[in-house]
Amino acid sequence: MTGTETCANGAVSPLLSERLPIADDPALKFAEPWEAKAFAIIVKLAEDGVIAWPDWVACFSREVAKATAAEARGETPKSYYAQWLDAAETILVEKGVTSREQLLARRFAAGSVGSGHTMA
Amino acid sequence: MAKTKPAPVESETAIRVRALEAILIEKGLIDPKAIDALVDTYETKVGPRNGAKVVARAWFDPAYKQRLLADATSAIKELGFSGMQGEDMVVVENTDSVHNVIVCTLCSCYPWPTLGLPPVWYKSAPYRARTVSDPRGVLKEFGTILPEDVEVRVWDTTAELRYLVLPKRPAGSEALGEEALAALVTRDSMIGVTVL
Repeated sequence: MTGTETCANGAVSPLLSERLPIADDPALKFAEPWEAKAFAIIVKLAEDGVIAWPDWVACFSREVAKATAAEARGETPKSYYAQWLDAAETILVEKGVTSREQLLARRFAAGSVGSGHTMA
Repeated sequence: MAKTKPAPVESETAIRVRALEAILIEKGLIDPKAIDALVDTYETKVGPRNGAKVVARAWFDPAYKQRLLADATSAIKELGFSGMQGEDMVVVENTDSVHNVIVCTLCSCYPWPTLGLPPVWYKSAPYRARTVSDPRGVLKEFGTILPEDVEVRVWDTTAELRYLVLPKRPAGSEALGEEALAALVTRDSMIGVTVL
């Protein structure tokens, strides 16, 4: 590594040199129940026509791009399903299904201690 | 480095999902039973065995292969597998001169009905970036080294179009029946990162 490999904006892109995480889980189950639920909520809403799948992909892609940029800066990106959940809340707020205020209020009602965790 | 820590009773993230679900149930937009059923489908019923059946049928039945390459969405539906979001499927065939690989550069679009949920590496930033910039390098990491004269085609999956690779039928499999053929087909070969 010479340190001279740069991408367009001048920053070294670790994405282009990093090896692939090939040794992954063969079963591909969700790691935690909330991941499965967050996944299923969006797929079901899309199946039922509440959200259009291309709109979802556009919204989710923005979260993935943010995480990819964080990874390129050497930070630890949010997990895949954390990105998914951020996008889920965003698209439902954008579509007027809920609001940030309602989400926050409901989180406290559901037992959130709000320990410095801000709205995503 | 990520540290392992004891799991809390219910994480803030889990509470966020529960809050979101409660709002949607209240508004009559989702039924918790339907959500559970969908999770079960993806955890137990949808997976690469579906895709393997499609590939084996194509190897076994030339007329089916023709239909599959011409209109994959309908041909895959014939076997009972259909898109969850109404997206179109496209099957790309590996030959002696062309090798196909699928990727989703923007997020993680993947042919769910035929392959189930994508593996971790498929969703990773290096795979999304490097499959486009250096496909042969990516293939090499999977142990796949192709002759120089084989053209590598990379297909970027989108919200509307999902690709599935039809691998080359392995040599020596001429006498096998459809079920035995399906057993030879791996998930990675249908993504195009390995050959059979």
